[in-house]
Amino acid sequence: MKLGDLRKVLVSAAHIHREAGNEAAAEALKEVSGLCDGRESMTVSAFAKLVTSSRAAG
Amino acid sequence: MIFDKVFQTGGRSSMTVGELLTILDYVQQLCAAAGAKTAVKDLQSFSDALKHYSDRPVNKACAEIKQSVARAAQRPTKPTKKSAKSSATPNQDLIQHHLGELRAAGTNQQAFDLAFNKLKASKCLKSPDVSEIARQFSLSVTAYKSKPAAYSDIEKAFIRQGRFENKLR
Repeated sequence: MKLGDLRKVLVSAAHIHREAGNEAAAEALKEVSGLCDGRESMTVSAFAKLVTSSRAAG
Repeated sequence: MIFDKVFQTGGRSSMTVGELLTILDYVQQLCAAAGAKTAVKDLQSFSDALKHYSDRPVNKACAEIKQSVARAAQRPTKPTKKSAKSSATPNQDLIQHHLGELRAAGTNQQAFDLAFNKLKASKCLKSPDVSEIARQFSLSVTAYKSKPAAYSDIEKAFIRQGRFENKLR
C-alpha cells in the first residue's frame, strides 16, 4: 500500500469522526495524514522503516 | 460496535499519539472486517512506527517525525557497488596502447588484423573501453551499445582509411 492510499484511509476516518462530533480525533487523524504529503508513491512499510530508523539515528 | 468505539473518544481538544493509536486500531479493525488485508498490515506497520511517540501530543510528534525524516533524507548515502563500478574511469593506458597499435598498422591489412585480434582477445577491456577506442579510431561520437558494434566500426574505419589513401594515389 502506498502512502497516498493510506492518506485516503486516514482522511476518510477523520471525516467519520468529524461527522460523529469527535473533533479532536478528526484533527489528530488529519494531522497524521499530513505525514504522507509529498511521499504519495512511497510504500507504507518503507515509510515506517524510515521513521523508525531516523528516530534511532536521531 | 466499531463505530460505538469511535464515538466514545469525543470531546477532547488535543490528543496524544497513544490515544490516536487506539483510533488507528479501530480503523484497522474496520479494514479487517472489510477483508482489506494489505491495509490491515500496513496500518499495523504505521502504528508500530508511531508507538515510539505514544506519550507526545499528535501535532508535536508529527512535527518531530517530519523533521527527523527530512534529516535522514539529507544524510549522504553510502555508495553502492553498482555506482562505484559505473563511476570507474576507463582503462586509459590500455586504450592508448591498443589505439597506438591500430594506428601504427596504417593501411597494412596484416598489421591491422594482428592489432585488431589482440584488441578483441584482450579480456581486460570492458565495453566502455572498446567504445572509446572505436570513437577515437573512427573519429566519431557514437554511443556504442555493445562491444561487437564498436569492433564493427573499427573495421569500417580501417577500410575507409585504405580507400581514402588509394584515392590519393
